Amino acid sequence: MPSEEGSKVRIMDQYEVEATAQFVREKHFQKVCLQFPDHLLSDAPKVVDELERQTEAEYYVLGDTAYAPCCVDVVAAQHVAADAVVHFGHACWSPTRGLPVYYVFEKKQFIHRESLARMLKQNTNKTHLVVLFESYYRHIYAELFEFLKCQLKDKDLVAVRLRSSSSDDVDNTGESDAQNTKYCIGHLKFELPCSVPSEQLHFVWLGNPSSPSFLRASLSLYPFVLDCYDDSTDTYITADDNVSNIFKRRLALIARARNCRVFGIVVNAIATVSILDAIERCETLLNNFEMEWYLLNVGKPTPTKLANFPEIEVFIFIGCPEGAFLDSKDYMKPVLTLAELELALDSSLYFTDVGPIHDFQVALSRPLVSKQQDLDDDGESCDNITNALSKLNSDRDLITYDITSSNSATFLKSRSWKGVEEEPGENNEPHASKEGRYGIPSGYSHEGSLQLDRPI
Amino acid sequence: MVNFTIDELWHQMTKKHNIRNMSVIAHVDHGKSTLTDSLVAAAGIIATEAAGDTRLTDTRPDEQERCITIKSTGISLYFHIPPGVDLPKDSEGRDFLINLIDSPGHVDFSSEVTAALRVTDGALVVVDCVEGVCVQTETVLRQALTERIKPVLAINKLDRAFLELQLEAEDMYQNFLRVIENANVIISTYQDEKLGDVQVSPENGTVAFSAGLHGWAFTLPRMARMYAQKLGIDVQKMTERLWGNNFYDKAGKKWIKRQQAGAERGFNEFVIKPIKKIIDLAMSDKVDDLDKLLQGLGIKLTSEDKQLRQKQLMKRVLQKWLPADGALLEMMVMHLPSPAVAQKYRVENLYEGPMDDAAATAIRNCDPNGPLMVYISKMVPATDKGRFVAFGRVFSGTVKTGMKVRILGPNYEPGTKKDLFTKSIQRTLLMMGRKTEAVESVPCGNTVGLVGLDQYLVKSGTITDLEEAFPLKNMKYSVSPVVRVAVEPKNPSDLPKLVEGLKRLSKSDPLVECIIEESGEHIIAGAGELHLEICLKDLQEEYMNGAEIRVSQPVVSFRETVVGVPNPEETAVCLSKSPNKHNRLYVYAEPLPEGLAEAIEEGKVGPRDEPKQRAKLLRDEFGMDEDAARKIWAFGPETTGPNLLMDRTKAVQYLNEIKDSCIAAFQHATKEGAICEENMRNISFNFLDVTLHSDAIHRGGGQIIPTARRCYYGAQLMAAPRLLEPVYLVEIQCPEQAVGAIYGVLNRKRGHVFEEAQRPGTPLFNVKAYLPVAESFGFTADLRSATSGQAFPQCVFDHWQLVNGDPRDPAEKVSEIVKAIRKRKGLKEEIPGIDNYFDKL
Repeated sequence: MPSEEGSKVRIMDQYEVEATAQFVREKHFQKVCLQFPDHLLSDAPKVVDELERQTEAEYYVLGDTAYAPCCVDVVAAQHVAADAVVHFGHACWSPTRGLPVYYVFEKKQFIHRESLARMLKQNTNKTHLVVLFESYYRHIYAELFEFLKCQLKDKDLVAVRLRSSSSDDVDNTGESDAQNTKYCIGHLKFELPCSVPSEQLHFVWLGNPSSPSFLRASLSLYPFVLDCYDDSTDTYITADDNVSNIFKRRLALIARARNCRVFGIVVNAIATVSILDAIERCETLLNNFEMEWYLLNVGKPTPTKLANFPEIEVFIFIGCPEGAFLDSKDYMKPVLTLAELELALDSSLYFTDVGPIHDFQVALSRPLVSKQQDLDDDGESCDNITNALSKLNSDRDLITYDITSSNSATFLKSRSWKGVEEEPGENNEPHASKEGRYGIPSGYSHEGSLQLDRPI
Repeated sequence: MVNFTIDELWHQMTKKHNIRNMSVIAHVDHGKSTLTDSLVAAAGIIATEAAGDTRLTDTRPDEQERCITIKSTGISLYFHIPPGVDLPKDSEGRDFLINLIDSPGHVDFSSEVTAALRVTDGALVVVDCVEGVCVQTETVLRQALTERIKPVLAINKLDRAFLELQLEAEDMYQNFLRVIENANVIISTYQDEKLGDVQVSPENGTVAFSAGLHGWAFTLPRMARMYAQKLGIDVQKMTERLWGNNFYDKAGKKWIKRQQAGAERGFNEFVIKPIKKIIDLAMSDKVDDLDKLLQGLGIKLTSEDKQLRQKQLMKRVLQKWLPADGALLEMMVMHLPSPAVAQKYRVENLYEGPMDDAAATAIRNCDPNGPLMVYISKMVPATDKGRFVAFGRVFSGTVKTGMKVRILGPNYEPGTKKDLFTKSIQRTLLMMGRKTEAVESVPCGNTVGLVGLDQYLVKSGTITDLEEAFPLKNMKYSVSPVVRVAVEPKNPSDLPKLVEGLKRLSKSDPLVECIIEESGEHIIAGAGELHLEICLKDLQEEYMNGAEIRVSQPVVSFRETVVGVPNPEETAVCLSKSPNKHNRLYVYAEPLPEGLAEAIEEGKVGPRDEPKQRAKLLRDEFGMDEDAARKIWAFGPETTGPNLLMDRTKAVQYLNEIKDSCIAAFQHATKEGAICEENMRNISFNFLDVTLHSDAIHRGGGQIIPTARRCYYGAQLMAAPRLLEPVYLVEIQCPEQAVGAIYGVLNRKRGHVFEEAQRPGTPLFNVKAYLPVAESFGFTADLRSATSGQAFPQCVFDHWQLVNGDPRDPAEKVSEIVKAIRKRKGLKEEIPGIDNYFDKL
């Protein structure tokens, strides 16, 4: 049937089946995992059919991802001992440990080319133009770039390239050699010549203004601001204070975290390169500042999950840079990134000192902030240790552990609910067993008659 | 002419019975600083002649410019009781040390007064004899009495009565009498057994009459001593005759009790008349007559003095005859308690811990060898920019340079490490006005400045060396920071400077609050317009090195409340389900009984009360049923606020298990209400019923906390939510012709006058009015221009007032206010609908 034929062509094209098959064949992979984001999952069987026809390998489809759809779920792939992962859809391009990954991006059409060119002309008078784009425009970008070059003859277009699939470059922003400053943000890579004054640079983002990758780019490029052109609605949004507002909000969270003493490190990625370093750095930092901390892995963090740790005052999120900012209003506790933790601990640091706050990879490259040591502090801790030792030697009894020395233990102490209740004055004989509730939670059987008036 | 050295002073500091710590408090412009200066002049730091002109205790340039005290300043004085005068009990020798703190009189700075009172044991209440007892006099006097500070009174600006108003002797007497009576009325409302009777009276020597500007003052015992020698009468008897209904019959040369022709009141005859005569002679330049008269009093004029004319001459003569320092310092030494005496009864008000532990005992006995207990009441900017000296009072022990101490912040909880630091004291200072002097150690009973602790203390705290010590109680301010502005740097790269500057600002002022709101706005909250103005100036010039800042329009903090609906337990119950749908909470909201919110705010009812007593109080005074009163789960926000969480469920399983989660959510919800995320006030949230999953893991905090919060919000919206706005009490003193203009200005600003009275014996009118804080910006300026500078208002926060209308009704004006607040906070402009909180069964 023609429609079936059409859909097959679409699948072949959309999911780059040919290229994927070639990738599998060339490297002789036997077991390959295909990771789809939820909204593309329905196409998965067709893609698998096609790939199986073209190659010998065995395929597994990874559906519900452990952390975020933009991150490669290596752990799930390792469950079936896969040789490689093919990642479909938008990716955050966090470098992954262990497995070869082949990225296939979604493809969207760019409709209003002329409109974009016109709006660019209207909205900037700067000489240099940097056009950044969502990963789903990569297939038409070269074409679009040429088109814009023709349309905007008076402007210099900075070439933006796509990061090659195989390279394991770490994100970096602002690493400069003699002539150029190199930028690597997610799937994008470009170089800005140092000769161009920064006030002559104009950045535009093609894509949805509320997407996480736009936020990531804005934060990475700060203090540059990004305009945004949304092709789906044909609207041009000029840069506003959005990013500095985000910074302000984060600053408020950091300020709140300054007085806290109990931290929870929430691990939101496992296979990302140097994630262990990040966790270790976190631990070292908190130890240096004599804070209490707990390491948590709860899968995708949700307010409900994290609220089960009421004694923890601040959560540190370590994971994908595109999902780094969790709305703390729902969480009721500040959720910080690694760089923000450093800001919170060392109040002499400022935003400008730590670089992009959302990306732990960048944070890792900085020297560790350390507590200013007072000489007399050292003396004291020494004293305590020797005291404890001498006590132990003299009578060899157990040393009572002072529960109040730990902040979270103090929290537990302050709770009114201590466990099984015993009503004083009542005879505490065991109850006779009695019938419980029936039915499902949305309406237990005994509640059938209970009706509440509608609110006013 | 320095008449004491640091060594001498230090030696004096070790004699705890010979120390007086006192603050000078008064209404604005009643002459505190001038009076203080005349005292300081006598202690020799500045020359006697310059007293009255320099305002030594106003250390800042803007204080000198505006002629208004902004920061309180401490200064140490030295007093020698002349031989022949009886010494107070227990004193060691005739030398006395007086640590004096001059405090601001403007209401906006009354937090400084609170801080000053904490470290002193006595207060010199200064009252302008023309203006009388004013609103701020009353406020500070009340504050002093609640802190168990003993007051003495100085009726000041006598020169005005003599020269400006030219009052008759009897009028003057009546005037003074009224001032004293007014003060005693206030004092009598604070009967405190431990403090004893603290009413002031001239015949007991606890009232002084002074003219700060001219540097003279007297008390009746001092006057009586002069006459007693001459007339050969007992001093005590003479003192009594100089006040009250004692009349001197000149013809018969005898004292009578009733007014009759030819008899003159003792006070008028022996006190007012001679002064008046001297003033008249001096003003008319009759130097020779004056000299003759003075010789009779045993005072010699130098030839230099005789060159002076009129006012200068009068000043010199009166200073010689009635030196202000002698009269005032004597009054303080004789009638104010020494630390050793005062700490005996103050310990209960000061210490949080049990009254029989080592720290409490040492404070009670003022023991220099006991454990160290220091209360830091404020931070004073040090000479090196950005650093602060911690200023406070040593209540027990001796604080030494290099000593290792525990710093207990305001959030310290005994037995934990919260808000606790162990650090060494770098330097110990004596604070003396503009100067500081480093000393080796300071024993208890004295005020002290400590260097090296500023990083660990925000505004105030306790310093101790005893591990078991509880902290000293935090100060309670009489004003609250209701006026706020948002600040941001003009140049975004100055943000670090702003953050650092705000940190320093919040240290330097006891009251100012520097907050970062959720939206990232930096908010500065102060007591009033003037307070904010000074804070912003300091921030920019002192703490940010002149970096430019942008300041938003002043914003007022509102409160959210409910007015309630009839039968809330049937018509306004909110049901919310947990995310896993396994738990259901049923809550309704209603207003608290009348007056309870105020009682909670004043600390009369609180979470730490004994439950049975509290239940009794709530039943008897607020009409709550006893059963309910006993089922209070929590106060909020901040665990002490004026909202209640009540358990009105009947026989519910596992309820105790979720109590903590419900309370945590309650604290959150009351801090940020559903209407516009302002604090809630005067709401009682009542749990009617709960259905919980039988499995503990499904009813954990993660499920309950967010649900409970939604449920409270829902209940709030269902119980007729309203907004409360803060209202100032304004007191204005002005001449009669300005009263009309005042009414005009107040009317334009939604204010209303509720009291208007003429001050007897003066042409002044006293107007009292209520004025919404939101309308108060520019009020002072408006009033001044409308009355050509004749009216000067004092605004102090008074109460919360209901703003009419449902904030959700777009037709109401209040919805505009709410919209503006939500916009400023970066929220969606519409108040979330009830459906966000109310779940269907």
